[in-house]
Amino acid sequence: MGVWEIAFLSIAYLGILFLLAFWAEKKKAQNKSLINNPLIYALSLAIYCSAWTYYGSVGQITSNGLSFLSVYLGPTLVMILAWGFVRKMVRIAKIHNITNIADFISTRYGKDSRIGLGVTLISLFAGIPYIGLQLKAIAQSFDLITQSTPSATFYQDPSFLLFISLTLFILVLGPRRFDSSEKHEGMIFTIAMESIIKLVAFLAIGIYISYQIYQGWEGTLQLHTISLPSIETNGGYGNWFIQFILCGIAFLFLPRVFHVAVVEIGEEENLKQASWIFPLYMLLINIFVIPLGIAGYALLNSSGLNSDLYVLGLPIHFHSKLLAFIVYLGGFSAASGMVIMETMAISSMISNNLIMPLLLRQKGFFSDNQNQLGSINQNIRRIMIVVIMILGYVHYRETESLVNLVSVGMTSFVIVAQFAPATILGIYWKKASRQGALTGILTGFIISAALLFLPNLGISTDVFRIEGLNPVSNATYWSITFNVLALYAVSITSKQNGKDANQSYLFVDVFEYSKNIENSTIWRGKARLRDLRQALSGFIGKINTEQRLKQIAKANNLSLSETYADPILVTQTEKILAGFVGSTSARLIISAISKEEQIGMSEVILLLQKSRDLQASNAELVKIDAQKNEFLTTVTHEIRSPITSIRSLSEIMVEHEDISQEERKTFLETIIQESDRLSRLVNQVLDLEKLAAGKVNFDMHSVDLGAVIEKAMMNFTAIAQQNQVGIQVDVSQKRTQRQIHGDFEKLVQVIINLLSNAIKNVEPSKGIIQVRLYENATHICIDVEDNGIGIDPKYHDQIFEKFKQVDNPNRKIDSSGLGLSISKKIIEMHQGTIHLESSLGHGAKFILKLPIQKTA
Amino acid sequence: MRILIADDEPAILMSLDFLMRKEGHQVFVARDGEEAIQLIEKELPEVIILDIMMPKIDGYGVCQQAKALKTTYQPAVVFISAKIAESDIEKGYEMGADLYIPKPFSNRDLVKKINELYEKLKN
Repeated sequence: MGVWEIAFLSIAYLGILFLLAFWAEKKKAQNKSLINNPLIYALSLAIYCSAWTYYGSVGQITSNGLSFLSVYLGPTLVMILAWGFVRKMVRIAKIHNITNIADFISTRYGKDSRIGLGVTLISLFAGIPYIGLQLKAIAQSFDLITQSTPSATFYQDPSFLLFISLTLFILVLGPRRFDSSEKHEGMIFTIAMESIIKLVAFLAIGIYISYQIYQGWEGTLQLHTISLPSIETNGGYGNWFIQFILCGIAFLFLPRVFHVAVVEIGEEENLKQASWIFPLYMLLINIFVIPLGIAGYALLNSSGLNSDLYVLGLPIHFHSKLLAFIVYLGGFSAASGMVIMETMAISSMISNNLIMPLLLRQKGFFSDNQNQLGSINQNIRRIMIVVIMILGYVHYRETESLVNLVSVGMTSFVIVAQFAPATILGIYWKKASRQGALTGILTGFIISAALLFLPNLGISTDVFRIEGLNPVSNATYWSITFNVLALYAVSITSKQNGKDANQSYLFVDVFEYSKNIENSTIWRGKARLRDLRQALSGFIGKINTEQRLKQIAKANNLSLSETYADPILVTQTEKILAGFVGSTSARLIISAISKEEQIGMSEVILLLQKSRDLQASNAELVKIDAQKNEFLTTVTHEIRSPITSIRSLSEIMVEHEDISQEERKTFLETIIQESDRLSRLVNQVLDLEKLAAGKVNFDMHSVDLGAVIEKAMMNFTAIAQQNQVGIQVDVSQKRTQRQIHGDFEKLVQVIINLLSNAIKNVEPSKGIIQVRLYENATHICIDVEDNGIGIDPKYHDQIFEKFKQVDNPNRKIDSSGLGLSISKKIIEMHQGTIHLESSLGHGAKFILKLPIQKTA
Repeated sequence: MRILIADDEPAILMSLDFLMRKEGHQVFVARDGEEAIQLIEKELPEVIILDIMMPKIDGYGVCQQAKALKTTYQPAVVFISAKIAESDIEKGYEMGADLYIPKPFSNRDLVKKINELYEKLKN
């Protein structure tokens, strides 16, 4: 195909992507987000698969065999097994309004600007060759499909036009609203679409070669008896395993992946499903790597084509123009997607952690430019995008033939993997300190860079070479080991300062505190409201500023008419600013407009715990309130019954003068009984409240339980006779040998309560109640057993609660519903226990156990 | 008129029994839901006065069973209950009550309302 044809189609493709982005932004404006779902989220994660995966895996097959699998399995396993870790990062980033990995790490370590800067520079260092690699892939595939040779001067090179278009594309879609709370809807949507295109293209060529040209997957393998280098011959499993671990840990710390995975995620829930959709994507895009590699080697090796271009070389070899174009487009998608997100992420890091802090530290800069900080920030990012693109392009032009796709990719991985220890330990280990993190990252970076690049300059590093490891695995091994050791050793020997320690709590315990972190403030100082307004409106405009401040004020019951702003407003303002300029710069802006007082760590933790405890005790109060309400409802209901009969019977006697003497007597007796019941109820309620409040005095003496039963029986025999219930007292040793320590009268009350219960549960004339007294080594026990209707075991637990008369079967076991609660409280005050053995239809047995008094 | 009164409070049963008898009605009394249903099936009273919180079968259950007994038999049901919240009263009417009288009640008021219901029933 012609040069201008392909150039035009490529630019048209970018145009279509741009329209899609525009459409997605419009949908978002109508509140119909296209990206806040697991599918688009998982597809956007596939930004991990750059041109390296697309072209490079196949190129590697014949030289490195199955080692490409480590690149695929690492991230797959991270998403399947460690999605809890990703979720924690997502939650932290959301709470602190973090928009890139440099901000993430520096925020964890007390917003240390050195760490932010270090991570930024290292990311840039690792990112430039990686971006160059993508540009190289675009240019090479362009040259191959157009059958042209690259021009010696770059401006005569047609692929330069693509480079310009891509840069413009990023500038237009990119730094418009870089507040993480307003996502890059359009950009993420195009990234997801590109992920679909590259998958479809790769599957298309895979299916074409495996099924159209050869008879299936195995046919391809059989046709060309090429023996692939096995893992054993290619460095062995040690190498393979280290690379696999490397890809897993580097995955999330690649600036572009961090951005889509952590910053642009809609809802945390998307992670759950993405944890299988993304691995599925990875499986699909790798499924035809082997047949394509073998076919490419068999058919194209002799032509001298770079093995990294086999994927595109194959359809050209078979003269399939359409397929060749589709494959080219897939590769273009893979490369451009990576470039778009990577430049965006790195430019935001540079702006937040390098340039803005530099500017803000200039005397007078802040006060002179307060109102334009937003647009200054945006322009810095734009300039940085152009700078990064140019650096990437220069890198590709100057080092074009030096290295293949995979080794550049792997080098970048080793370098960004240096962020892993500080991040992972930072969110699980509170003691990880800023000095430790800084030392770890720098140590790891220096070791990895030295081992990877010194050999290129002719300096041997073989002294450090471990037998059997290739350079990448070797560098990974040494750098990560020393990174972790340095982080650990420095962290346990250095002392964290207040801010460092504060953040460690906020990160490590994010799920415990997240609600409180959002609502509470951990800042103390003085800032004028007017200054806050001005600082904010420089970024989000006057109208938005007023809206946001009003929201915050309303949510926290604050006034916006004071001269000095409430600390909550200051904290929230800083958080909003952090979304634009990162935590380091936001801190600088806030300190420029306020006088801050240091708060120690213990104070912060205390504040957080206090607000958490308040929440807890609030919930407790609500519960108690509900119980109180229920209690009151039941008490009033219980009181209404006797009042009803008293009133009704009295009215009868007032209005009907003709009633018989006998009836009058019955009515009056009933009124007296009901009045008694009423006063008993009132007394019991009061007793219970006093017991619960611990206001009852127990008159403790040595008590003989035999005597207690006797006293209770004395009060009770008459009632039992009235109800025609037989009571048998089986006191085998009328007096027990030993005694207990207790309040005689209170214990009598308990026995009476149990007996009255029993009497209500048995049928008149058939009822038998047995009382037994016996002792074992440690306790004296009393059983009160009846032969009544029994109580279903499922109610046994609640029977001792206030007013829990078992409602089904609708039988009142406890006349007022309070007797058993009171009894239980009294027994507990004696360090004893009371429990129930019963089942429906088989009577009920209450068993009291009271500890025997120790004889002195 | 034939009236059934069911309540697990003997004292209340006593006074209601007296009041209804004085009005010249024929009265049956029950101490729980089960007894009430047996009596209803046997006697088919025109008016049924029910407490709600009763042993074995509660007032709602008795009301529903009575109403579903026979198509030709449509008794008037009166709940007399200590459950006096707005929502309880609403529920009572939803369960098919013709009248809901909160406890404690005034005798005169109760008698008047039941007589009115009886008149309405006759027409």
